[in-house]
Amino acid sequence: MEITIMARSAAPKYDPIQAFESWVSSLSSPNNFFGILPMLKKFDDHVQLRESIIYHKGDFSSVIERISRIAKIEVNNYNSSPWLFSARIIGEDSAKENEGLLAFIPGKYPNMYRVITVSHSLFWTDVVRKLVKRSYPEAMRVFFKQNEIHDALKILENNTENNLRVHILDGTLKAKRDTVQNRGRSQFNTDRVWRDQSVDEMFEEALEKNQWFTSLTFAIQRKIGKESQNYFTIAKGKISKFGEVYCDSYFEEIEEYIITTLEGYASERLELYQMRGIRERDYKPSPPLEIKYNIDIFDEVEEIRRFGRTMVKYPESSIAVFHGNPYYHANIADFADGSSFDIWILSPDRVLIAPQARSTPQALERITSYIFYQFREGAVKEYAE
Amino acid sequence: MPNESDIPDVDEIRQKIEEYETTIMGLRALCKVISDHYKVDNPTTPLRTSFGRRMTTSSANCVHPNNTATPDAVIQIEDDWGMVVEAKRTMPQNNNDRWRNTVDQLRKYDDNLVGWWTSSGELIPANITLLIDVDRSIDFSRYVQSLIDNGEISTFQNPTSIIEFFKKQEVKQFLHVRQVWGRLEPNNLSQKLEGGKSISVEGLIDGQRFYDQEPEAVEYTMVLLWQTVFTERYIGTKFDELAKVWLIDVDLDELTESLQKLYGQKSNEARERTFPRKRWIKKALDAFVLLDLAFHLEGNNKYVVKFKRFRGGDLFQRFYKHRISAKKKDATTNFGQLELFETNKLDQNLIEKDEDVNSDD
Repeated sequence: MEITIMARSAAPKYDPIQAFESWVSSLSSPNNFFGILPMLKKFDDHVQLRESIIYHKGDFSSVIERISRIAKIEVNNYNSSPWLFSARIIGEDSAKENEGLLAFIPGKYPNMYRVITVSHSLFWTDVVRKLVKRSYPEAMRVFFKQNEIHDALKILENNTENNLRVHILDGTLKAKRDTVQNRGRSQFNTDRVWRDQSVDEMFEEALEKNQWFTSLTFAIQRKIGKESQNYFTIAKGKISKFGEVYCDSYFEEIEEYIITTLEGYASERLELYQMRGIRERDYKPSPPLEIKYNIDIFDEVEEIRRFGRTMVKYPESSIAVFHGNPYYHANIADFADGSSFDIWILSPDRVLIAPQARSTPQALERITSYIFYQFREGAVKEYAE
Repeated sequence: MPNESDIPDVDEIRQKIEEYETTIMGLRALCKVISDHYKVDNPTTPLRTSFGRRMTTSSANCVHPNNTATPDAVIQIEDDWGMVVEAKRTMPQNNNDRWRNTVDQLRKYDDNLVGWWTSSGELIPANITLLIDVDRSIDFSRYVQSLIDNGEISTFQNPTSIIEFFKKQEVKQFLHVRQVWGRLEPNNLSQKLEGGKSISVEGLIDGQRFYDQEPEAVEYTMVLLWQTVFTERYIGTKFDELAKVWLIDVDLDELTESLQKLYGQKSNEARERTFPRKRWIKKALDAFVLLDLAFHLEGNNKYVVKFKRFRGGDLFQRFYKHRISAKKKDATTNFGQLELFETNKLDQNLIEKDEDVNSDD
C-alpha cells in the first residue's frame, strides 16, 4: 500500500509547458504543428495555449532579430529551427515565467501566421506581445471585430456535443461616454463584467448598450446530469480584439472553430488591402476603401468632430487636415511604414480611405483597426458608386 | 519686424486649397456628366480627356492667330464631339475690366482648333465652356452678354456656354454643375446641364491633385510632398543624431517627375501639358528651407530634406509658418540682397524654362 502511494506521489507532474516544448521541438516542419493539439492535455489555471494571429510576408527570423534589439529581449533560434525561438527579457534577474519558447507557425490562410506559446501570462505579456507589437510594419497583428467574435463563438457552440454549451464568463467592455468630452479626457468608459451568460445574450446586451468587447473569457461547459440544469466548466478560453486567443483545453475545437474562423475574416480583409498603393498600381489609383456603418452616424456634426479628434491621436503618424466640417478630409502618413492615406467623410454612413503613393496591407489593417477600436466598427469594402 | 497680419491665417490657406481641389473636381464632374450622357445610348462610348492640352489656333483666330491655346480641359467623344473648357474657381472683381482677359481666352478657343484626337487633328464644331464658381457665374454671364449686345465682341461661332459649379451639402456632399449662359451641342446635353446635375463628391475622389494651374497655397504641395513622398523615403535614410532628423537627398527634377506621375499629368505626347511644374515644386522645397526642414545644395536642383516625425498637430499649422519666416527674412536681410537677387534670378530661369515647355503659361 505504501509503495503504491509512493509511486503515485513520485509520478512526474504533468508540466504543460515542458510537454509543449518537447512536442513542438520534435516537429520536422511548422506545418505539422496542428497535429500536436490532440496530444495536449488540459492545462491548469495559470498556463494556457496562447496565440497571436498576425499578417506577415517574408522572413520572420530577420524581423525577430531586429525587434529583439530594440525591445531588449533576447531571442534565439531554438534547436537551429528557423520557426522556433527561445526568448527572455535581457538584463533582468528574470523569473522563470519570463522566459520561454515561441513558435512561428503558418496559419490556414495566405500570409497569416500564428505566434504560439504555452506559457504563463507573464511571458506572454512581457515578451511575446511586446515582440509582436514591435514587429510592425513587417508583421501586423490582426483585429477581430465584434460580429466576427460573435460568429466564431456561435460556430464553436454549434459544433459542440449536445450536452455542452458555450458561455461567456467575463468581458472587458468599452462604451462611448454620453457626456460632452473634454479634449484631454478619454471618450470611453471601460467596464469589466462577470457573467455566466449565453453568447447571444451577452452580445445582444452589448449591442443594446452600444458597448464592445476588448476581450472576453468564454467557457465550454458540460451538463452535470441528463435532467440537471447545472453545468460545469471543462475548458476556458479568452479572445482579445487585438488578434489574441488563449485556451486551456479543447485545443482542436477552439483551433478549428474559433481561431480559424477569426483568421479567415482577417485574411479576407487583408486580401482586400492588397495592391492599393498608387505606385505599385503603375500610377493608376485604387478606388477608395470604405468603412460602412449601419446607421447614419455622421448626421451629427459632433460625430465628425469626434472622428477628427480621434484621427489626430493616431499613433506614429502625422496628419494634415484639409477640411473639418461639414465634411472631413485629412491626409494621414504612417511613420513606421511610410504609407499614407486620404481620409474622407462625405456621407452620413461611411468613411472613405483613399490610399496614396504607398499603401501596404499592414498599414491599412493598422488604420482600420484604430478607427474600429477608437471610433466605431464598420464593414470594410471597396467603395463603388 | 514683419507684420504678421499681412500673412493669411491657416484657415485662409485651407480655403485656397479647397478652392483648388474643388476646381479639379468641377472639371471631373463635368467630364462625368458628359460621359454619362453619351453612355446612355452606348455604354462603351470612349471618352478622351486631357487636363491641359496644347491646341493650335488658325490664321483666322481673332485673339492669337497661328499660335497655341491651352484650355484647362479638352474632352472628346468619338471623332465627332468635343469640348474645350476653361476653369475659374476664383474670379477677381471686375475692376479695370479685368474680366475681359477671360472673355478673350474664350474667344481664342472660338476657332477651328487643331489638336483633337482625330486623324486630321480637327473637330468641328467644338463646344467652348467656361467652368466658373457660382459666386461670379451670373455677373460674368451678364458681362459677356453685354459685350455681345454692345457690339464689343462678336457672337461666338462655336457653341459656347458658361457652367457654374459649387459644392452642396445634402444628405451627402455633392458637386453641382449647371449651365447658366449660352448653348451647347447637342441640344439635349445643353438642356440637361441647364437643369443642373449633382455629382457625388465620393465618386470624384481620384489620384489627380493638380491641374494646369499652380495652386495658390504652396502649403498644398508641401503637404503632399511631406506626407506621401518624404514619409516613404525617409525610411532607411541617414539619421542625424545631433539634429535629430533624417536626411533625404532630393533631386528637383526627379521629385517633380515623381509628383507628376502620382498626382498630375505626365505624357510624352507633345501636345500634352505636364504638371505640377518644376517651379511649383521648387517653391515648396524653398519653403521647407525657410522652415529649416531642408537645405539647398550647390547648383539648382539638389536639396536635402531634414525629415522629422511630426506627432500630433496639423501639418498645415506648421507649414504655413514659412510665410512668417519669409517675412522676417525679407525684413532683416540687408546684406542678403545680392543673394536674394541671385535666387530670384534662378527662379526666373526656372520660370523661363517652364515657359519654354509651356509656351502660353
